[in-house]
Amino acid sequence: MKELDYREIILGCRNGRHGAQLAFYDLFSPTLYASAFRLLNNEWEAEEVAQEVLLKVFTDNSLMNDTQDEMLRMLRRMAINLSIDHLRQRKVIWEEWDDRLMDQSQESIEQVIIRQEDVEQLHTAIAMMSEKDRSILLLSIAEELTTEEISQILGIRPSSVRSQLSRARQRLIKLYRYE
Amino acid sequence: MNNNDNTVLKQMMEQAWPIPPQPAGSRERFAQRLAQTQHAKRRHRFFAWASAIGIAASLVMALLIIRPQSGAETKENVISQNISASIAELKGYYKAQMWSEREYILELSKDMKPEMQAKLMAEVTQLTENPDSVALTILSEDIDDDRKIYYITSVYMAHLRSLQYIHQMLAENKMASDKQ
Repeated sequence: MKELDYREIILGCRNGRHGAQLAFYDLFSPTLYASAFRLLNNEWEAEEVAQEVLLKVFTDNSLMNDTQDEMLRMLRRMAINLSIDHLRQRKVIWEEWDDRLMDQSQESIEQVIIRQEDVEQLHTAIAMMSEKDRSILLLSIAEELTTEEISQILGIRPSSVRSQLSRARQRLIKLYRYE
Repeated sequence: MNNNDNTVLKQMMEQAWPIPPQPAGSRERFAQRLAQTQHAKRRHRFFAWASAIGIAASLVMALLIIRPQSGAETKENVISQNISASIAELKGYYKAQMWSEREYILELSKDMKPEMQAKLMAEVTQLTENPDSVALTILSEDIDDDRKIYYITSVYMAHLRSLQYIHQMLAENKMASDKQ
């Protein structure tokens, strides 16, 4: 969508025009749904999160951003935060970890997985991971968030994020190899 | 890990962990939720306005109730109330005397011809009531309150003296006729 079109949509949304609001939904909802689904692994919960985020923006015009990229970044962040809240309701808890728990002699996940190129096996391995390990790994690889960003979202220290990310990578390699 | 590896891994992850399409009817459900949310927002705004108007109306009512009491404390109102009280006192005092004089005149004019008596009493009534309208005119003038009281007292006194004079004349006539 062109920038001008996006501006029209934003203007329409600010004026509460229904058509513009649905165009806004069409524009951002697939990305938000994808981010939520990666973490929650449930279509209905992901839909709920995506819609909740969009409704929040429509009820507070100050959240509207004139730049499409910034709007998308903010919406994704909101969707991820809300998904993490849903995971917490499922009793998934991220604790502080000691840096020393990080395995320094770990194998490179990229080399192992890319070398074999077995997508089906990778799917099974990801599915077998715990929600805690899977979510932190997907936040890092699929959502491309930095350690600091993940640390802010989960409310734990960056060093703890690094440790848990390291363990999640090793778990994935192990599951990937032995499946 | 280089950038290329990163991209390849991300692509593999996306293939391995694909995102299913949104559940059927998702857009319609969103449109419905949006309509409900906006309806709730409008209702909330309406009640917020209604409460604000209600509070404002209560405040105005409270101020209207309180105003006469607090207004009495201002300097202007004290003067205004003082002069009103003074004028009322003056009026009451002189009116009582003038009505008393009127009664004496009525009594002393009993023996007069009816036409003469009616004429006299009409003039006496006018003398009794005339000061009220003059006092109102003085009150509306832009002069000091003390001056106003002075002028009004003078007017009432002048009219009272006229009535006293008529009373005195009638009494003297009656005494003279009684002697004869």
